Amino acid sequence: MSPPPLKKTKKRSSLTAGVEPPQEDSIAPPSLSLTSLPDEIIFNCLTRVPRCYYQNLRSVSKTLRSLVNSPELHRLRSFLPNKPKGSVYILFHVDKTPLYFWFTLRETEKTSTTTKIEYRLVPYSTPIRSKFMYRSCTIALGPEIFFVGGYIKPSTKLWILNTRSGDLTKGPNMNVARTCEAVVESIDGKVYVMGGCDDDDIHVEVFDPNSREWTVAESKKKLQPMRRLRASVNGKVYMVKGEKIVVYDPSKGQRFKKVKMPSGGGRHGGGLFYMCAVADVLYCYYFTHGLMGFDAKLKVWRRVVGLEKLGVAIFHNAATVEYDGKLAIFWHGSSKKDIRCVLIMLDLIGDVIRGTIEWCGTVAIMPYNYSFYRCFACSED
Amino acid sequence: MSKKMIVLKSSEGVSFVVEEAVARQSKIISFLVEEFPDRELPLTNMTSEILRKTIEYCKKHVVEDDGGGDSSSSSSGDLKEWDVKFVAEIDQPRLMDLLMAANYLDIPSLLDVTCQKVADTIAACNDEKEIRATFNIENDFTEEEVEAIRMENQYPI
Repeated sequence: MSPPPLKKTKKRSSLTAGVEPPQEDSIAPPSLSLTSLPDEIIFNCLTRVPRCYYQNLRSVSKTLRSLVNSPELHRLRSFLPNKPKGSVYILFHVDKTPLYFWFTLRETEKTSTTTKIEYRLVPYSTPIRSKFMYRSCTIALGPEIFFVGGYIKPSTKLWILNTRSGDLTKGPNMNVARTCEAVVESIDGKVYVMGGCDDDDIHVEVFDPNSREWTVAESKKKLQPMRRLRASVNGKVYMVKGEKIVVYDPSKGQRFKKVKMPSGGGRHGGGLFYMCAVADVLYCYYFTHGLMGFDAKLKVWRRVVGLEKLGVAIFHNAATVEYDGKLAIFWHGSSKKDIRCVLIMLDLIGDVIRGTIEWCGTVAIMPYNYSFYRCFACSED
Repeated sequence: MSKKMIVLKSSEGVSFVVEEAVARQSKIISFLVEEFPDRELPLTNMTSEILRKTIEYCKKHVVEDDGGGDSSSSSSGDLKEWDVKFVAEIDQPRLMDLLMAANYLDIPSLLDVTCQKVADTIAACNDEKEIRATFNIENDFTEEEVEAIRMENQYPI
């Protein structure tokens, strides 16, 4: 006796495996069309595509259009085990005091009258007086936030805040002491710390969150102190230096490249307020140009259109972060008490990027003397 | 002790002898092996080429639980790197076949890497035309619908 056809064992149906193979086709069939696959598999693929490419997909065919627009896809996205959504943590400083507070962004319950999701900031911690939290270099990676080095006085210290458990622990020390002039970024799941020290031999160190160990990376060129605006995209660090954006590539012998700012930049880099990476595109907010996206593959700047309703001036004092594949901007409203937030969906369409305001509103009302200090996005796993 | 081997037969009738532990990464095969021990398993909708690829993947990912085996059990970092290389070397038509094989045989980790490759390929396409060409999708929109989409994609200057 032979095993029964496989199709009896599972629901997966479109293919059959019989005891006696009926078909004897030796000619290679043409490539399977994506849309001929079961919906379940197409959804599995689509949930992994960054949201900014959905507009392209909607224009491909009727089937893909209805799948991309289906509520099922959005339901599945919210259940992804490695969903990029995560949580946003914002550190507020109480002016003229040594006090700092953490807040986190929450989706609030749907009300009975509207199905729209609202957002608000809720307190995450009691007041913090730990100086390293606001003086050292910081980076979020996975569910953890890393505080590296010292302020003006160099330090080898590493502190780690686990946002899931709320635990703050001391990590192993770096090999060299660094000041807050160091640049810290997360690349390929590791924490890279560059510069901020006088040591010529050990310039770049890498912390692996899994092994909990520091290793010294090869570095051919020293890093000059830079403005704090930076972001990492596809394993490269983009940093503002004068009128240029300097690109640091740890995988290619630490060479430095430069990226021209749109229309040459100018003083203060064309009024560059913010840098934020969303779905592997570098977004920069310029006073002169508004929001621009840098396509690292083609080395071109693309204008983000459709955000005319948002003013420019409001962003002179804001914090940006990637949240759920979208750009989240937080800023102080007209009365400084109001903390405003906008969530922008970014769709790549031809030569431009279309920004769509998905949500905009007040997420908190804070005392007058609270200011943004730092903003992080952490994953929940 | 010699390892238990099982026989998988492709659509062309080619037999592949694999260690049971390797083949058991497929939940379907795992089920069949228990129900029908010592029998050849016919996989009539899988070509030899795709079956060979699938076995190659399973061999790399087999986990040795009692040690002392000569099968590979690599560190997670190495495995990840290997996976990346594995899917990078597969062309588009074979990727779709492999994806279907992973679904059909119920090998979750292979389904993961193949679906991710499809997603990455979609993201690497510049526009809808490139997506159509890459994934062999027919443009079934009417002219009116094409115009409606064009309007939808317009933006204020």
